[in-house]
Amino acid sequence: MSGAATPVLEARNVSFSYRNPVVCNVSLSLVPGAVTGIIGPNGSGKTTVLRLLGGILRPASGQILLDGRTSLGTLGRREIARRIAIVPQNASDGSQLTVAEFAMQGRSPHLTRFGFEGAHDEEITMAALEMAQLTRHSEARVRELSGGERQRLLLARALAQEPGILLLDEFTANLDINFQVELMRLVARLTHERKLSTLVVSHEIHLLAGFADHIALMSGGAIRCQGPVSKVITRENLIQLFGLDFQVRPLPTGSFEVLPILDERSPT
Amino acid sequence: MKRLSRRRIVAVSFALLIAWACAATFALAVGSVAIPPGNLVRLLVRRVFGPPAEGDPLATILFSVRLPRIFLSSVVGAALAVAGAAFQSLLRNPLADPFVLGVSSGASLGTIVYSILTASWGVAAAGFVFGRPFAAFVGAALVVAAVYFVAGGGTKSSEGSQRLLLAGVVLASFISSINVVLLTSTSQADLRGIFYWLIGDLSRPADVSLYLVAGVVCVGFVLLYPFSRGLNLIAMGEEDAMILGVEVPGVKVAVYLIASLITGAVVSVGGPIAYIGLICPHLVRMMFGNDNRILFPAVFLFGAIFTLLADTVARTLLAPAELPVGVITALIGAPLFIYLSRRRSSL
Repeated sequence: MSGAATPVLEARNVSFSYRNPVVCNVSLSLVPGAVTGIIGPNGSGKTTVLRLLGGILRPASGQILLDGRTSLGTLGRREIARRIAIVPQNASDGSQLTVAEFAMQGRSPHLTRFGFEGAHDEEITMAALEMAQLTRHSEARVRELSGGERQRLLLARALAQEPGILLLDEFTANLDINFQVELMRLVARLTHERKLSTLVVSHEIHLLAGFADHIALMSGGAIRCQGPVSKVITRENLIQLFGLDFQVRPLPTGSFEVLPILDERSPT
Repeated sequence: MKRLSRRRIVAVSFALLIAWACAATFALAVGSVAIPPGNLVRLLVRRVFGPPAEGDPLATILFSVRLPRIFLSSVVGAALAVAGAAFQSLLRNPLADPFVLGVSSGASLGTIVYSILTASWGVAAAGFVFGRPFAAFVGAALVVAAVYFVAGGGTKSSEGSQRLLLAGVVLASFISSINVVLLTSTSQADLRGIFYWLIGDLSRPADVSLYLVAGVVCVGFVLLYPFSRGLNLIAMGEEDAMILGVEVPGVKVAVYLIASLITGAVVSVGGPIAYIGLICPHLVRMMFGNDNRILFPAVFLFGAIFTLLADTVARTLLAPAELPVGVITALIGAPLFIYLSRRRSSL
């Protein structure tokens, strides 16, 4: 990965609190063509960071910058939605729509108030479904899809927004391991091919260790360490983060295999 | 892939407009005095092209009684139906309707308080045309705020939207009781008229406020329509709508205010007619689907047709006696409400 690429979206010293501080002084940047992963235990603030980066929440202090200069807070939702697509953890079900209609929703930020979807929008939607390998389901109802297909549909809707930035929140949760791998492979391929700046928030270390280019480890609302996978995914770091022992093995592909050691002797 | 086109919206609206014209012609002809079709056409043609027919009793019935009433029932029905469709998208609940949510009761409260105040201050209420609908709007908007407060704010979850509905039902019955107390304590002369109006009644002689109300309803519809696509997305889920570029809080406030405004305007003349905002959107969705861009114009026209026919039934069923139109709509709407809530369908 070229470290010199300008960040498309970055958080600079961002903090956020509901009643208690949830995110403290977080700095993180997304660059084109790279998957950035945030790993952390439940309640570590990783979803909040994603929502801050997507402009759903506003930081209490610090800045979210687009292209290194525009503060996200100065943009309207429509302008944000043209640049940033988010796949939320609990997306709407839209069960009575067809797959194509659901994906077409992604065209909304590009339409004017009285605008109706035209042939061009249909083309882009179909291309997005193609990328998410859902073309043959396009006329099916959303409720007929399996869990993995549903996640791919959410990805297709996000791609129909033609975003430069893709934020995925627990994208592979509640899926069988084969679907998880298939989805992450798809996300990584699209990110590299289409030069997207992708953020994946997950607590599944093994997936991010395998597919992310950069990783940030979060706990207690702060980023404990971040950088290329080889620097961050170490046994010491993971023990500190989760209080569990791990076996970390580099793979010939440059990614890592991570396994928790479920042994009585592991340090807790 | 099926895409909604402007052409389809225009075609559907045009077809419904023709249906409305047929319904209106039918309503003109029937009543305690039946006007045969031949006479009807003759009177209409003479009215448009010829000199006024002074002293013809049929002409008086037609143009001074029935025509204004048809116009009134159409405006009231269109407004309540489209307000119901808007509330349903907003709360993601097919049971939401101005009557169920207490908006109509709030509007009646506003109207009653206004009448009492103007009477006690000695102001000629009729002289100030804007007063009544405006007071009704204020009442409606306050009740929406109160329902929101009672339900504990947000409508994020489906549970929240159910709570809102429940709060609406409770507040509606509470406010209806206050209305009765207020009306009884002020010893108004026309108790039967007031009793009818509280159920929803279109039989009062039309006055100039009809035009004002019609104007408010039309402007309200024009203001509401641009939000239809945003409301489609909000009906799916607020966070999804936000992600897809909808300014959710702004749209919600605007739609609440517009729907309260048109509800208030029509309740100030027709009373809180029940369930029109529930029945009409439901039937129109079955015909034309869930997309608000076609639903709003279709339900606007369908609401006019439905209420016009319901009012015609109300004034002919027991002729020469008249029922309040709210009785007819409640007889149809209450069973539908039960059916819908048992099916627990979502938008």
